[in-house]
Amino acid sequence: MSAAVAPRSPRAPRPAKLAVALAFSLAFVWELLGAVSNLLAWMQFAALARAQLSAFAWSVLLAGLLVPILAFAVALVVARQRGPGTTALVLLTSFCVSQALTLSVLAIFEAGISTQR
Amino acid sequence: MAASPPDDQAPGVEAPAVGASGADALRWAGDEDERSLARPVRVATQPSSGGGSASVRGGTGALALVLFGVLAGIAALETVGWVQSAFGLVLGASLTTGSGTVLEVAAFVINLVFRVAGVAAPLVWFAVVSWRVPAGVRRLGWLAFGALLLVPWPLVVVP
Repeated sequence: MSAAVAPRSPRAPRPAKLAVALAFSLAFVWELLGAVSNLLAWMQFAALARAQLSAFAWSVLLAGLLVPILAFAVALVVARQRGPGTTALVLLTSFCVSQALTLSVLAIFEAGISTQR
Repeated sequence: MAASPPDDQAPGVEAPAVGASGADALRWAGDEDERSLARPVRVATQPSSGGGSASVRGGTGALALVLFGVLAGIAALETVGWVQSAFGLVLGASLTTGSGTVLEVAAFVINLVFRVAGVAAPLVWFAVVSWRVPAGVRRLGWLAFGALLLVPWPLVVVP
């Protein structure tokens, strides 16, 4: 081995793995933007109605913000010592789960709002 | 069906002709059975590692297989539940092309694809865990965790 080739640290993220993580991060960011949009829309709606969001609404809307962040973080932790292929699989699974949980949060919000009307 | 001579019949030994007497035919059939019983069985000659624990391990394997099948069924049912709820009245209403501008249509397509991802979550979880996690308690644990995590709450809470 030539001396010019620097030994790579085993923990250093490889470019392919980094590219996979970045590509999936776009999907998670899109989901996060949707949650932010929901929160802002409901805040605006409450302001128009001269009312305030209830504690239930705040908690559910904030949970919607946390879901994609937590899902992405957990997926990165699980895939931290895996190759790019496994990382992509873990991120894909995590994204699907994140979408399902977001739908659950949305449904719980709708159900809670309808019972409080 | 006419009886045919066994494959391992020694050369020179004459098989009874079709239409031989009933006693000959019966004797021949019995002889064949005795030969097949005397023939060494390959399964019996295999060494049984673990001795008495083999049957216990077999029972555990059968239980694991049953649990695996149950969890697969749960994943399939959850997916059906997600299909029903995610495109239902309440959640389906959030999928809209708006006023039809390019930006809104693009957002609609992205949201639709992402919703399909959410609907497929139980199956994706099941497939990835079954493929990547080695068989055993750990795999069953991950599958059970996924089954609990991915309950289609929209189907339960939305009237």
